Amino acid sequence: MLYIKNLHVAVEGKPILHGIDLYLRGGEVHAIMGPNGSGKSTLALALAGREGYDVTEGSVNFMGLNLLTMAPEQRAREGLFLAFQYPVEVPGVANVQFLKSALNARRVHQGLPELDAMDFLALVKEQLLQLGLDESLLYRSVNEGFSGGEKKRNEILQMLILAPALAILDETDSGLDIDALKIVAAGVNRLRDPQRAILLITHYQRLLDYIRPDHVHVLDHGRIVRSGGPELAQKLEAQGYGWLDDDLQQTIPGEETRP
Amino acid sequence: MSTPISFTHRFDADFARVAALPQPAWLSARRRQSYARFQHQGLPSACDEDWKYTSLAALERAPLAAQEMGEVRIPASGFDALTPWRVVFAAGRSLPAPPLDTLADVPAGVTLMPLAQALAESRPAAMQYFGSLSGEEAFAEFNSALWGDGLYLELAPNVTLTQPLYLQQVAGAGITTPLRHLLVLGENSQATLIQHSLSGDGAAHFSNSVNECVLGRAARLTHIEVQEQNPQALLFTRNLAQLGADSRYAHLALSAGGALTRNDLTLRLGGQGAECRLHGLTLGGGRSHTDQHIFVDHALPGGTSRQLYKSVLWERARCVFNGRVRVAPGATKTDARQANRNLLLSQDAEADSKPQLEIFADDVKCSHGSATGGLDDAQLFYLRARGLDQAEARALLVEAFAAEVLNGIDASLRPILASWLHAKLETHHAA
Ligand SMILES: Nc1ncnc2c1ncn2[C@@H]1O[C@H](COP(=O)(O)OP(=O)(O)O)[C@@H](O)[C@H]1O
Ligand SMILES: [Mg+2]
Repeated sequence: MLYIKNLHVAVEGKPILHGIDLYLRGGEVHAIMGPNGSGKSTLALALAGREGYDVTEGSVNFMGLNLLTMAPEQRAREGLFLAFQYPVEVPGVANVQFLKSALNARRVHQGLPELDAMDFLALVKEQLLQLGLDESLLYRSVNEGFSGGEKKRNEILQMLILAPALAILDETDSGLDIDALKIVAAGVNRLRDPQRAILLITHYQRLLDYIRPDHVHVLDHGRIVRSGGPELAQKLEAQGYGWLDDDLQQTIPGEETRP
Repeated sequence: MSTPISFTHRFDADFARVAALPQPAWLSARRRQSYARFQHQGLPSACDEDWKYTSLAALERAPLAAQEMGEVRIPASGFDALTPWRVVFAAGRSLPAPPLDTLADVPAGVTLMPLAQALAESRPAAMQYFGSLSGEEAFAEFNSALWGDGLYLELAPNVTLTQPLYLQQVAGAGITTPLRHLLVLGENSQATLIQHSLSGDGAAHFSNSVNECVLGRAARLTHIEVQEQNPQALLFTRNLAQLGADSRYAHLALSAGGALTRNDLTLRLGGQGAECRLHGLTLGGGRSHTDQHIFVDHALPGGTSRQLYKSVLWERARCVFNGRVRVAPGATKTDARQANRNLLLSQDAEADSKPQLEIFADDVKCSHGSATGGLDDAQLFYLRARGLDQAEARALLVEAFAAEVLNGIDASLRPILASWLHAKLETHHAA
């Protein structure tokens, strides 16, 4: 599904990621944890194709395609989805119009007919209900004036409607209360199936109580310094990130932690 | 070698013609006076602060033929669907059909006739207000001397014009006879005017129109101006309004294209508690130059003014926004806000923003802000990350930016204006 090999990324000339290796198979959920500033969002945005995130070395294969040569919209149409850590406000563009354009762009690419307004609304309303979101959200400008929780749930709404092959969630759990977190987690779990992979970026172990990952990776200073099972997340929760730094002194960063 | 005749002296034949029209003696005297003043002062130059960013060289150079009385093609208009009340001026003359007096079902208390007729009949309100606001600026005097046709709309107190009045002004090639309109809204009356200026064909033309609007106490006027000019067109408009106590004036200017467009909007909040909402959008490509000149004079206390002027410019287009707000001594509790936002879609496009606040009263709220820039990268990426291609994402953002000006207008009129805007941006490939 996704095969990241020795990925180096620089932002505005400053090297941030120093050789990331990750391999996600269909059906798997991987969690990436790490302290603030370790490069989690940089990885997510580089995968989504954000301009200014320059890949200086390495390769990314997504469902047999060379991801790095594709425009952001091509990546999206092929089924890559990023739930943004900071969803962008787009004044003047109605959420419903945005969702419909996004879905139809993907459907046309898949060789499916565009959904008409009726079918589209039926689909969206079903998802709104599941996410505990009010219908009025559809007619407001994209993310404009949304509360933090509404923004995050709006990302999940988009994800569920687009039904991506690979969903990358960048700290979607941050700032959510426990009820909202459960709703979001249920949404993600509904998406789980053998054809799909999920990359959960999180700062806290909390989300992983509701979405059980198959693999956990720890990112620090632009390198994956540990990989393991769900128990790694629990250790981080109990001990924080401090022990990584001490540990790092004795290891060659990255090498033995590649999956 | 003959020296070219200066712009101010090109109109002797036209003046002779309008001066010879059957009209009251005082009116032809006034025309003569205005023509003399126009010739005496000449066209404004770049030394004039009000013309600093707008050169009239193109007007002086323009190879404009004298008034042509040829046929003018009347383009189809999406606004026709909106109202049965449509008056067409082609090349500066009202078309014979439909004559003003046959407009169906105009409510009692509404007077709608050619301005010349209202003055010839000495209608009191027409006599009182004609020329009371137009002023002595060069293009105002030009208009006062040479206007040929125009509309007189008078609403008796408490009368509502139930549907918009749609005024279409189609310019022919060359110099179009100036138009002059006068609107007098009695106490508590209401009207909506859609004034649509457009080029009849691709030929160069020079058009000029002046509106004087007088709003009585608690009257409401919504005035929508739509300007669609060909790349050679030269358009000069002046809108002057006097707002009575507690009256409401909403103005929306949609200006698209043209070689040179200069719009002057001058409002006097001359009654306590008067309110105005002024929104404008300039769409410019090629080498078009548009100058939006606003002057809001808060003469009495408790007035509110809102200005939102935006532009979307591509290629080498240029837009000037000059927003002057004056708060007269004693005009306390004035609430005046102004915003100017310009979206530049190319390196060569340019926007000049010049706010002028002149505050002579205490206890007032005044603010202004201006921002000029390109499309937001984060927004573009967000849309593309959801599968919208670059062109689609840009078009969506440009339209969203532009459409904000429609918010000042009654919701019932918004859909038709939104589709006008959509079509305009689409045909111009603005993004
Ligand atoms: N636009 C930018 N320009 C320069 N440095 C940046 C930029 N964005 C992020 N960084 C730096 O990149 C590093 C990684 O940031 P980020 O990927 O956002 O971390 P995380 O998501 O793990 O908190 C940080 O040191 C941050 O300061
Ligand atoms: Mg981050």
